[in-house]
Amino acid sequence: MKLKINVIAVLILLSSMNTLLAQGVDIYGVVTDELDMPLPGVNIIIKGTQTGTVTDNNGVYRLHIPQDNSVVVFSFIGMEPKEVNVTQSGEYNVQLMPLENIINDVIVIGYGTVKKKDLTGSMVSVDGKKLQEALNTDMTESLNGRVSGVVVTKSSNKPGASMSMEIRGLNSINFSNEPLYVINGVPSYSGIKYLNSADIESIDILKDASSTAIYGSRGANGVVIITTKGANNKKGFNIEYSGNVGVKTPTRIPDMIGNYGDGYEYVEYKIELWKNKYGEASLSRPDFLTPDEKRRIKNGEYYDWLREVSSPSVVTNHNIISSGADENTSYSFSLGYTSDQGFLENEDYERITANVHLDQKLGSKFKTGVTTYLSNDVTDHGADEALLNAYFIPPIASPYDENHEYTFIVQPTSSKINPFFQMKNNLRQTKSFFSNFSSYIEYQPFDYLKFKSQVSYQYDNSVYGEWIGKETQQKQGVNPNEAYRSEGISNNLVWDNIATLSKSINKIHQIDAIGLFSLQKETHKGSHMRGEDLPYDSYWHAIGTANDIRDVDSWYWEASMVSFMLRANYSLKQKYMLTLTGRYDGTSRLSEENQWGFMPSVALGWQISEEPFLKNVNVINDLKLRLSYGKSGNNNITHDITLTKLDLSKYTFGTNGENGFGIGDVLGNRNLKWEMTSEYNLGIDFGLFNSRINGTIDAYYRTTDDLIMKRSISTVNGVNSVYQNIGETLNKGIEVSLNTVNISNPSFYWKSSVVFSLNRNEIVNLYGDDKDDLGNRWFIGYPIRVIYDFKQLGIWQVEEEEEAAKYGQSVGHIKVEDVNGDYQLDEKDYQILGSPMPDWTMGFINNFGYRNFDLMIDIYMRIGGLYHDEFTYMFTAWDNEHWNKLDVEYWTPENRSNKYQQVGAQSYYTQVLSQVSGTFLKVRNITLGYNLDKSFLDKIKMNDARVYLAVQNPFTFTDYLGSDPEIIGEDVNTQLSLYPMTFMFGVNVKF
Amino acid sequence: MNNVGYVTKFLLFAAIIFTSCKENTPVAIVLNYDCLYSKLNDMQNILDTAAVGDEDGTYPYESVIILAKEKENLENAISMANADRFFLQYEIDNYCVMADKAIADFESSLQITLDPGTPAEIKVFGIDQKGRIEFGASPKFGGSDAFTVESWIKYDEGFYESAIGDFLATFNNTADPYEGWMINFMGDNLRATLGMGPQSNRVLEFGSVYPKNYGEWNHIAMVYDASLSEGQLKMYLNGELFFSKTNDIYDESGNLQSYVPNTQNTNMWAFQEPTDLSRCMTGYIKKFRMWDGAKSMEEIKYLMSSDVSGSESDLICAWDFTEMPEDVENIPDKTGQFSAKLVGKYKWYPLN
Repeated sequence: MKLKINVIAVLILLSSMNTLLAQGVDIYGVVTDELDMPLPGVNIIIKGTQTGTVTDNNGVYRLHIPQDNSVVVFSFIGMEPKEVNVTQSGEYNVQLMPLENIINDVIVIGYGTVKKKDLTGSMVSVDGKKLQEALNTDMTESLNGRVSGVVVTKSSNKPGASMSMEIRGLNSINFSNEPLYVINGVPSYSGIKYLNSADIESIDILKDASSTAIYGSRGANGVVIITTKGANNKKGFNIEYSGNVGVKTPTRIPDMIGNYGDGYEYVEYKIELWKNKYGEASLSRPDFLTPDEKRRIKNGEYYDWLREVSSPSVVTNHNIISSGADENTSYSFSLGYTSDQGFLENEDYERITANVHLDQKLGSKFKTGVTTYLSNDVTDHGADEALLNAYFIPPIASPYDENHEYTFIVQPTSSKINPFFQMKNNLRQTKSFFSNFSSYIEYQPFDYLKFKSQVSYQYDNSVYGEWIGKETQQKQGVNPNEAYRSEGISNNLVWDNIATLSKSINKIHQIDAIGLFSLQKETHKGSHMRGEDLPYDSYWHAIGTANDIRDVDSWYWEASMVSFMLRANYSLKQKYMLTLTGRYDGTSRLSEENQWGFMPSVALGWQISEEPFLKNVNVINDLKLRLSYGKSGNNNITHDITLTKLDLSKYTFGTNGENGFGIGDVLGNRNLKWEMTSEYNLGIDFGLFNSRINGTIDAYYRTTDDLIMKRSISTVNGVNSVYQNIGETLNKGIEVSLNTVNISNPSFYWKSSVVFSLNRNEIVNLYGDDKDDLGNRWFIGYPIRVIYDFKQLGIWQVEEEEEAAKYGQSVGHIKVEDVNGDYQLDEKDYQILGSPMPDWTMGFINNFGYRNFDLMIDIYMRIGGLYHDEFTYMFTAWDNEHWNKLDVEYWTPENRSNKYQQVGAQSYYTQVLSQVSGTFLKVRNITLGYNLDKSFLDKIKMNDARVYLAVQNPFTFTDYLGSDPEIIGEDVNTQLSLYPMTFMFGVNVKF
Repeated sequence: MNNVGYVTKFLLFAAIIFTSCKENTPVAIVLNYDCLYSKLNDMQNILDTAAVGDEDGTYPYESVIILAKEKENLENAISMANADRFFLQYEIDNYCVMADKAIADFESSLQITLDPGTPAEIKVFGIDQKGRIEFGASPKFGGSDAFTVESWIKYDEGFYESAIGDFLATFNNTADPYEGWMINFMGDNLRATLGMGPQSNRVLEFGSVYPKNYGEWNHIAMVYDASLSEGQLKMYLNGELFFSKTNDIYDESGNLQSYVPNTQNTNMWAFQEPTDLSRCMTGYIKKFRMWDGAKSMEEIKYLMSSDVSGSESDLICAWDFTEMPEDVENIPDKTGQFSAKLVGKYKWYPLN
């Protein structure tokens, strides 16, 4: 230490001499680590410039700064960079903290927070900034590849499309596997899509049962805690804007026969198809090629329908956040606007959000606050079947008539109408409003004890309307128009009362405890109606004018829950940790006999790196072992499942209909209990080379028993089945998260993040009799979802003609496996071929920095899984004489494809073509950013400014014949979409 | 232009550069007219050498006129070829196929007179909807939960040209749900099709590659038995199981669909479908029977080589087209309950 003082004295002297010789300021000092030890080799750079230095072996530095009021950045591998405002010459000593103590320092675990180093369960926290970087309209999608164990499935690439999430696989067979979403304290099973990622402080995902047990009967599928940005206690007034604008273009447009203007390819295909299917004489039929089609062929006038109906579109986001604080009050307010247009007409998503947060101190012991989140969303879903028709209609058909106006019928003998008419006349729209309010009051009588009472209320409504005009695919220009309207309203009121204790005894014993008493009531109501033959194009706004009104219904239901919860965390010498959690829930969804349940958990943690035998191992700076066990339930079951219900029937007497009620076919069961999940989790957290490499490895074994299954019984009074708690499923898997700092020097860094997930799912028991359920394709010992079908061996080849004939097959037909060798291909030859779940997934994100530039490359992959894909089946198996199909290698005697049957072959077993691999690798996002120079920012009175260019989905590697392998299996009638590649320009500024 | 405009233009430019990569390539088509001249030569030879008259062994004068018209059409096609009016090869090939059909039609018009009762076999020219056998109308023809249809059939290459070639059928695809049954050909397959309901537009259908022993008789039998748990629909070829199909037709609610016998159109025809007239074929029929009940494979093997008296309790109808009938518009069945008639183009050939 004496040496250090001497050095500083010399530096002071040198510094003062230097000041006389040059303008600007000179600074000096020592950089230390969290243990006050000098840090050699620390990068020190004047922000916005390339000028800098490094600390010497004693952690000492000195630096001349040409300008006053500069910001100096201190950075070191494995340490959180620190910025220091320099206003005058002098000593600036800096202490850097290890990354693991800073990043994700605190995780929201439900009703409170915990320091990451004290974690004993399996949880992941995603910073709101990371979600914003992903540039996705629905931030749910951004969790793929960023959180291990999470698989988000998109229904479509249409704007505003819904998404579903699974955490650690499927548990329930008959009920939802969606996790519990807790938005600002309100638990529900939806709502995340309404939120703007710019408003998110963090998303915390609780995965193992010891973590989710805190939510008791609702935690079995995992818990996603979403916290919107709150008041930040930063003194003064701050304002921040982030926004971007992008152009979306369709990429990986499926290769249809004759696209790109090469329509003659389709003509050759059609000749081949008709010859093989109907014989050569069929080509003389007048509908083989119409005179108009012949004329177009002669003139080379071809239409690439997919590119005709789609056009580039624009996506844009604008967010403005203001915040401020004084001694007692802090606040924030934000407004956001998102617009995401689709490629087809009337496909659009628009969202306006507002977030208000206010905290007020009331003396030294009381604190109160309110949070309000509002979101107004409009989704124009586009027309059913418009894109589907564009796939089907061949390039020799024209959308125009002789006057160059759109024509309704584009092929005289085809049922597929012009998609331009479909887009105009089939409208589908959802308007939603989501609001979330919470207010709290907190009393802290002692430093170690707090009481908090919070009331939260969530309201959302949604109105869906559909208009099917006469000139649509559904109505064929003949049948009358039709309108449909449905509405749903949900209310969710929660009152949480929380006591928090945090007490350290002699710096050896640390006790943290949370007690909860909570009440929740939710109500849901809705209605729908349908009208046919409306006199005006009034869409769904005047169904009362329809000649025929039907499907009129309305409903209401409510559910409530009372909960008591206690969690205690004990830490000894910051080395040994024990967490005990117990939650006692009572729900109205179950009968009185079974409506209360207790869900306990226990977790142990051992901070091995604090043990003496590892203290001197320099390579390892952090090592913790975690072991946990817990139980949680699935309350996402039908609210009236225990009751035997009366079904409504309409009887016709004379000219009038009469309502009648009769017992339904399912017998209620008052003995039903929650489906219960028990889970063991073993985890390791580690940091190596001063946390230059850090990460987490988790292994879990999760069983869900008492699954509610519909069991067949002897028919009595029309009842033929009853719900019982009899099934059991298993999920086991491994998750790895790894963060590395690969290169770090004053002008360049490279950091990587890898997230790996592997899950194996299986049914352990169905009905208690060890029998499979063939009808539902449920097999004991196999995943809940399987592909159970014939296995394709290839295509019958010329030399196999004799063998093919034994199966009633021809050369060029699809060859499937005869499992039992009886030369009869039937259900006995079905096999379990795979499961539509990936074998494993991985996210791989690389961040680079060079001076003021930064670059992010985001890669995501799913490996394995066998999916049923209607699109692939439809456009490789179907041989309609007037429609188009995918341009793949169909079998011919000369070109012996072993995958796709001969054109027009009328092969059986074509359903095997729907079996497609789910493997893909995507480069999801490449973003190049530039931080403006500090000197320039000072001139325009700005704190921070960054501009960036980004491209989403630039590269996709897959064998999938459709557009986006991430949405294999999308509903071809209602969800079919094109895959967007988006080019964006964005700005982030802070004042 | 403002900055937003520049940015949007840049992004659009980047999008175009990134996504455009393939160009249309013009196609050069070379046409071959050889078959036109070859067929013209064939037609001229026939017209030059055919014996024309009213007696057996000659061709009727009307057939010569028809063939001469077809020859004119072919000559027109050659003129069009010389004038470069064709663009695609199939247009030329169509004329050649038409010429082949015209020649075959002419040859089939060779006159043969048979006395009633003369052992003979009948060929019905169903292609292009030219001929069929109508068995009358009866709800019994629609079948039930268990029935069997068996018959002998013979055909030559190119025996059907439409999407589906019906041999025997009551099928009605204008009804909702579909009704009736059909034994039919599609692609390479000989198939059995049943209308299923109550859901609309559903069929239980299966097939297997049809025998390619052109010009030889085959015995086929379709058997439906709803009481079975699997293999409800079976087909036998020459007494051996041809295929077995389990009813796997469910509606969206998981309800198994059932066979729907005819209620609206109860006609039963051969070589053409009673409601969809485009489903037709050309071929020979020998013995045809329909049974109330599902016959076993052993019973079918026995029936192949035996005759029926008409008094069998489970026999719905039976015709033997094995000799020249007295009245081609009133051919009684063996049960005495029904009567068949030959419609359109057909021909009886004497058995040697």
